[in-house]
Amino acid sequence: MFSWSDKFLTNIDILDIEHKNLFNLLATLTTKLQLRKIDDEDIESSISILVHYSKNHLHHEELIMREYHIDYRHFSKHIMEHSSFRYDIDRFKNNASSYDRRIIGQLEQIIRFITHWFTFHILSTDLVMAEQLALIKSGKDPREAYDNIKDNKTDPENFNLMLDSVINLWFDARDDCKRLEESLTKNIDNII
Amino acid sequence: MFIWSNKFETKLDLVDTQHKNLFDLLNKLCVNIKNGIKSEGELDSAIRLLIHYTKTHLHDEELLMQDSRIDNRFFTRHRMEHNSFLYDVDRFSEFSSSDDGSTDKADKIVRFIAFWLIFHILGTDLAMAEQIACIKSGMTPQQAFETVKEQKLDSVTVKMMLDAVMNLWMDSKNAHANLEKKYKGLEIKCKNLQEKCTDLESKIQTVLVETIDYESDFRPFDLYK
Ligand SMILES: [Fe+2]
Ligand SMILES: [Fe+2]
Ligand SMILES: [Fe+2]
Repeated sequence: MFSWSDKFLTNIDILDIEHKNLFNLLATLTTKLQLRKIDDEDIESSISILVHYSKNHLHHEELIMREYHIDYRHFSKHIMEHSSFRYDIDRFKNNASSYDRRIIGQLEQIIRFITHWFTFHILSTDLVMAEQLALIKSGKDPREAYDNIKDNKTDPENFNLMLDSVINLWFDARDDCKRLEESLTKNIDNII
Repeated sequence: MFIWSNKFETKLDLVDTQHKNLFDLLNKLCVNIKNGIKSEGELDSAIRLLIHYTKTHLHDEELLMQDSRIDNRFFTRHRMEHNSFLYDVDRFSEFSSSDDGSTDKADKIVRFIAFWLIFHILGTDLAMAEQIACIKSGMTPQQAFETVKEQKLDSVTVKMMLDAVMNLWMDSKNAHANLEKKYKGLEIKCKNLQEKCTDLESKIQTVLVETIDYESDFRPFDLYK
């Protein structure tokens, strides 16, 4: 489903390690799910580990950006993306459409969401942050660092990967809507 | 505003004209929604016209593909995309909540149609146009299919698609959050209704019991003894 590659490297050790760990965790869980080697209790704890680990990582990244005083124009946009992830991931837990669904479906959804979200986010945003941090470390002013990478030299192949993951995110959100609409119609019918 | 660019050109006259007309319709609606010029009824009929025109366009494209005997693998996929779009459009009118107000509703559907069109023209219609061009120049439909399959999109096109799909994703996420609110509201109403029902039931029960008590005190049959 997904393979790690050097395209994702930020060259900031702690962040790369955490990104890799997260993807390894996702891969392990996917295999477990495929082999059906997982029980409800396992699933419950896997979900909370995934959510916890990814949120923690976002927090670490934010601390590093603060430490290097990255330009505010980047910082505010980056933080906003992280917050939207937090918001979305929390919604999975109390998602009305999953009331009548098995918990295994919830884990599958969360795995898909985290995989596609992080693929997109690392390529689109973390790499831009990493470039600025490298410049700042080499002595550039944060504002200069930001202006320097504005005309981005992103690998064209990366755009294809990003597009792929956002298409998946869109399709999943759309399916979520459909499911919710269906159960909404069903419930209204029940009442009437 | 949705700006036309030559990146959208398929070089098929009918298709390009229809695509441009669709952009015009969408932009006009955008302006009207923003400025609040139109009444609710006018807005409704403009939307209906837009949907009708879109449907006609998709149908024309399908006829064109059949006429040029495009490879069936591509035709099936392309038509599936059209159908899934039409399914989504139909659900819009069914599920956009009534408390949204008609301009909000119109805004949502205009955004959906516009971003979908951008995504679809760049990702699918252009591939169709290229295959048709290949077939016209003498290739078999299969050869055309294989040739176009190998081609990669340039990064400007991919970026435009990325932007459109991001908007589609955001909008469906918002739609989902709204539906959830509605769902939860409904659940609360349901619960209240159920509570009222049990309440009523127990009241009826007491009344019944009282009546029976009264009857047993009265013993009307004693009179005839
Ligand atoms: Fe990040
Ligand atoms: Fe089209
Ligand atoms: Fe099409």
